[in-house]
Amino acid sequence: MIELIRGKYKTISIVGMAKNSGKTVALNYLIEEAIENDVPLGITSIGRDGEILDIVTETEKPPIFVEEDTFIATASGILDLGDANIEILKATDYMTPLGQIIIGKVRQGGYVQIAGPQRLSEIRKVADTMLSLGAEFVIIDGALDRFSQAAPAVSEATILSTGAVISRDINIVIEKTLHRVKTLSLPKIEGEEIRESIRQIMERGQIATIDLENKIEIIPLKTALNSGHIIGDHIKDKVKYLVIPGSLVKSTLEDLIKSTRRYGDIEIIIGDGSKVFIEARDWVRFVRQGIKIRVLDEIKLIGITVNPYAPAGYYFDPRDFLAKMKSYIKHIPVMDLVLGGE
Amino acid sequence: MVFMDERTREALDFQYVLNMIKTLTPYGNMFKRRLKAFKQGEEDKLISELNKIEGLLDIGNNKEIMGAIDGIFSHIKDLRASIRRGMEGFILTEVELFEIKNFLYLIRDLSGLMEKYQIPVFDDTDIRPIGELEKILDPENTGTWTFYIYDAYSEELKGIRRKKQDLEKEIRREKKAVKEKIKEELGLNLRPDSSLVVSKDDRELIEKIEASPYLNYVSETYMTVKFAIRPGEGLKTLENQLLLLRDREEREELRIREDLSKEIGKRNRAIYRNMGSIGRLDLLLSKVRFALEVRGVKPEITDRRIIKIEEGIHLKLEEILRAKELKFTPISLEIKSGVTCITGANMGGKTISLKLLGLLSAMAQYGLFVPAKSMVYGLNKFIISSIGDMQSVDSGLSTFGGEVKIVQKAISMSHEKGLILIDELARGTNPEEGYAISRAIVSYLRDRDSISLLTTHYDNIANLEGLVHLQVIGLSRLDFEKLALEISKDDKMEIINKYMDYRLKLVDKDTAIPKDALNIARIMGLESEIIKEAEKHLKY
Repeated sequence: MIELIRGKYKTISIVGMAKNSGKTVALNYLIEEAIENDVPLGITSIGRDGEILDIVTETEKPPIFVEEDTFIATASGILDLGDANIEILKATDYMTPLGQIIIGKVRQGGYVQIAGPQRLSEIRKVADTMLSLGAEFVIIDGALDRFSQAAPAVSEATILSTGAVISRDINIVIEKTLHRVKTLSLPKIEGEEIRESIRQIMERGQIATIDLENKIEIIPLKTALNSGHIIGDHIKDKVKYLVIPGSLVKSTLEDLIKSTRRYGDIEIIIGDGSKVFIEARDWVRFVRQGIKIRVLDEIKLIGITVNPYAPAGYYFDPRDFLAKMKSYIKHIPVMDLVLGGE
Repeated sequence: MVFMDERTREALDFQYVLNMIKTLTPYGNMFKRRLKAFKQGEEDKLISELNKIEGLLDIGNNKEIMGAIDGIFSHIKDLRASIRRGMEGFILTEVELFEIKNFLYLIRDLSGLMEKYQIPVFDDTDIRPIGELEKILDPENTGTWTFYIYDAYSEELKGIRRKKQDLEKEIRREKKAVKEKIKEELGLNLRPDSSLVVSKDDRELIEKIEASPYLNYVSETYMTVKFAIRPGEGLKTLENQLLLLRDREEREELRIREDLSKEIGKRNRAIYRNMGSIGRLDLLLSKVRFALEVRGVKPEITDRRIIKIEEGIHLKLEEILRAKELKFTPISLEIKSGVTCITGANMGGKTISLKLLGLLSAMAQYGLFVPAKSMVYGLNKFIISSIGDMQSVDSGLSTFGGEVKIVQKAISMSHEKGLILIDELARGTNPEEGYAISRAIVSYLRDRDSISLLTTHYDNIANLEGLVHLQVIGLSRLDFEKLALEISKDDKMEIINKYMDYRLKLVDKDTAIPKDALNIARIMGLESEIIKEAEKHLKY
């Protein structure tokens, strides 16, 4: 797996379709590969918003084995929970419920726990710091839910973990994974000027339309959730793009279709593919109806790991599962890390 | 007795000024919060504080030096809790030790900087590096700003870690040897974590593995079996030893942290002293920056009962006017014990003059430079004011009621050497009684120790014996014919600002109060019919 990364990407996020979809296995596998190849790594994770209890109990945070010379960015409160010896290089001002974020270097290998910053900008900064200190690349342990910041948005490349945990029906697992791959890989909008305008709109968290003459109209709404019909009213004749920062959900698109006939003539621009929270079936329907969606920042999906076992006790035939997944996803390497090989 | 009550603080916009004083360190913030006015009798202390600011003005003007100091200040953190924990015998965490080491390096750099640029040092801003403790937290003498429980802390630790490393190497070697044998004999590659997962379909392979002395069954699912390297007796012993070593290492590290915490606790006075010096230096430099920013002057402190301001500027109003591209007219005035009355046109800046005097007085007494050409100031025991609408919803008092309450408070304090500021005395009631009350209050205050400054509209107040009467020059030199041409302009304020002469002049006590209200009303755009009608009434 490491060959997919070395020399190509400086920051890699690993995200799971769901809990227990094998993200940690993928993370540990990558770390072990790095150890074997003597690659100095940086490791951090995206913290989850919320109370300390929530963070400690509800997020999976299994200890990670790290070798000498690995860089880590983690909260001071869990720094001494592991048995690795860490030299503290920097104490940042980034606060989490588990304490401030510390950047350290492993002096003697062992287990550590990682709970990184909560904001994307902070993740970006700690990743840069670790790279400048000598990490060849930085792994960001991420999530794909609405409660966390989406890791793909800050990393150059992403590895997606999927597995039997999603459904007892292998076809549903494949269907959902394909849908995720599809939405994560949404094409980006081209054109320097228009991208810059859109980026500014998004940074301000505004919903806006842009017409053929590049005229921007801000729609005075705090969020697109439950406001599809209001947005629809603003889709005037010349509107070409609709910019929606934040999450894209089913009801917004449904209301949009109900309230304007021009929904097929415009392109909806969202931040990146991780902002889509629409089920596969609805998605296909919207696409058939003519909805077009593009992203500002493309996510580079470089690998998919599959885990045929579910903690609930059921499982798929590993070879079948891998073969089936591969037959549907041809352009991205699919791996079963337990079974070995690609 | 409080120096200034909340209402006066607010009316004088004193907080606005304090907000301009920007400390950068947590210790500086602490001293800023504790800022107090100097008391009567503390003139020498105040003068010394002002002299310190004066002595640092050159440094404040030097961007290079200030940049370097700010760079250090911005990294200073509040470590008081950690130091206290060290003092009380708690064991500090590695992060705390790291922060303390960084703090020591920062004060070392700061002290070096002060020496290099010959920054004046005062008794209470003396930064003293604690070299001993630096060494303790940097036992390998690397000089790096990082922290680690270094091997150099104890032979014991060094030994444990060396053994641990050797053991780990040996374990790895052992495992590698087994892996190679597995590869040789079974043709299988193990995963990086030394395990192997085999499909149950492959009966032949499973049998082969089970027969192998090198692999152990770990777990299985319905479909697969997981194997891992079978630890031989040798490997088992090694792994056990490693566990024991880890335990010993942890205990030794704890002991070392305990020692370090004690060393830090022991030096708490030296550390606290530096924190205090940093805080006071930070506050002092922020006052210097403020002085330079407002182009302030050092007020001349005297023990006479006098406040004399030459071309003073009200910072907040200046800022507001600047936003409208208007200029603030500097105001000069001099007042002494007894009562001084300001009279003059509406919108002529009477209230501003009053506020300016109060604000600059408060600033001087807090040890700040003041935005003026010069200021002579004798310390006051208090500043109390009745400015603006005293109507208080909370207490259910009307404007007049509210004013009376405050004025009564001022009167009860007037035998002390304070400063009393009253705007538009008795404005909230009927003119006849208002006048009577005003006159009575003024003649009472006239013979007190306090300095009182009042503004009033009433005729025949300022003409009392023994009063000083200042008057806004106002619109008196204005040609209203010419003005008529400009009146169509949108911003009436601009016109008034253009023609109003806000300066004060000392006038004879019997000088009549100028009647500018109609002119102002005209400029502000009151119906000309109404103005004419009003003029008719005035003729009687």
